[in-house]
Amino acid sequence: MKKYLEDLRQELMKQKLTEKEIEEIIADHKEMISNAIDEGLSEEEIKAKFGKPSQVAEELADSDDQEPAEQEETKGFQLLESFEVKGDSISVDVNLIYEDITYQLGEDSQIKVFYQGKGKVEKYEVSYEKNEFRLSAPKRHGFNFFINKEDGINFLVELPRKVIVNVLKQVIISSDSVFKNLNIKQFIANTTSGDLDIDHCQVEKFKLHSVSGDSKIENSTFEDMVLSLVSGDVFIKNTTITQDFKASTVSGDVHVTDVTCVNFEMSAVSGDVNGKEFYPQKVIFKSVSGDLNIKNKEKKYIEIVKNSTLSGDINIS
Amino acid sequence: MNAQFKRGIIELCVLSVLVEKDMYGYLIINQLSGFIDVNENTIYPILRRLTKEDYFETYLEESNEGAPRKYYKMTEKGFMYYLQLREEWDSFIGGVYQVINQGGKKNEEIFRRFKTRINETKAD
Repeated sequence: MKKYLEDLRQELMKQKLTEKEIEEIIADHKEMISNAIDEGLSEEEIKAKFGKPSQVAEELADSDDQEPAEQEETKGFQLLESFEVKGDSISVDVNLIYEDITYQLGEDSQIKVFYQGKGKVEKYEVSYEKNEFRLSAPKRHGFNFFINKEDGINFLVELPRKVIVNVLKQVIISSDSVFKNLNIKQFIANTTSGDLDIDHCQVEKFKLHSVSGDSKIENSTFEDMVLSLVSGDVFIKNTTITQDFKASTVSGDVHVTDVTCVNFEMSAVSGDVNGKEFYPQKVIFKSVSGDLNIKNKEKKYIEIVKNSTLSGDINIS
Repeated sequence: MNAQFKRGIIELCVLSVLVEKDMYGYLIINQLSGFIDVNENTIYPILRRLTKEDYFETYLEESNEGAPRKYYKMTEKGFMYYLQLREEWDSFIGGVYQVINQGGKKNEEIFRRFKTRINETKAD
């Protein structure tokens, strides 16, 4: 049985299922196979009944098939620039003020920048040199508090599907940004009041600094996630963090649903962390009045490594 | 058989056993494979998908022998889905029977008519 389960795990990993799913599937098979053994089935009979691990994994991947996030139509946008990418990795550096931006995958080997709106697109810096793509808003002199909506401009950036993004750095003031289906090694996002939306992305290291922007992270996998929030809220759903998850917040709340990670470190003034189906293995908790609330169906052990709080509570149920 | 089609039928079979009572995975597989030629690698993915769609809930229950078992329990949403599939199936299979029984149910009859026709074409 051990061998069968190991083979199955290997096959499941090939199918790009999330770690949480793999653990569930393995546990279910362990149970079913031991039921079969209890019933006195021979090894041959068990093999016939359960099928090849590779087949099981394929069937599961088929039926669990996660549709990628629906991509934005490029219709309604005008092509601003396109750059041919020769290597297999790029970096992306974006600085924007109020312009909304969407990043997604394109089928060919080019980086394509589209825009819509009546703003002065020629004033933006758009370049691709030495495997680095840059998009920057024009430098503003003096104070520009009033931005005429009619002068608004939105960007849509398509990155080649076959290319890995080594570093994606985005610094924005109030722009809303959307990331779909991307594969990023190091992802750094700074926002003042702009909202972030990350869907179906695979990220190794993720760092988010947000003052008052709200962020939504869904259907993605991360190695490490570091959130630093002032009053912005973060919603994380159906996501796997394979290593560490750190969240420091002043008053922003972090809502976590269907998420696993190894170490979870929270430091908060008054912000709360609300978890549902949130399964960290170890927790470090520091807060003034912020609470950590976790509601899980499965009773997995969560180790509280450190707990220092003035009036905050840890509620795990 | 077309894989998609087969999957749909087995889905209905899984729903049909769970509409009666809660069961654990291995028992469901045993129940079905007693009647139709399916094994675990068809049934388990269906169980999993239907659970994801909230048609089933799961809970653990201790057993006399060994580890606790994961039981699948049909939800109200699951029951509605069961009714819908069942209706689709009944109307489909009813139509199929009408088509294949157009020439009657007796194979000897059908064979006799077929043979005469073959001989007629040969004679031409």
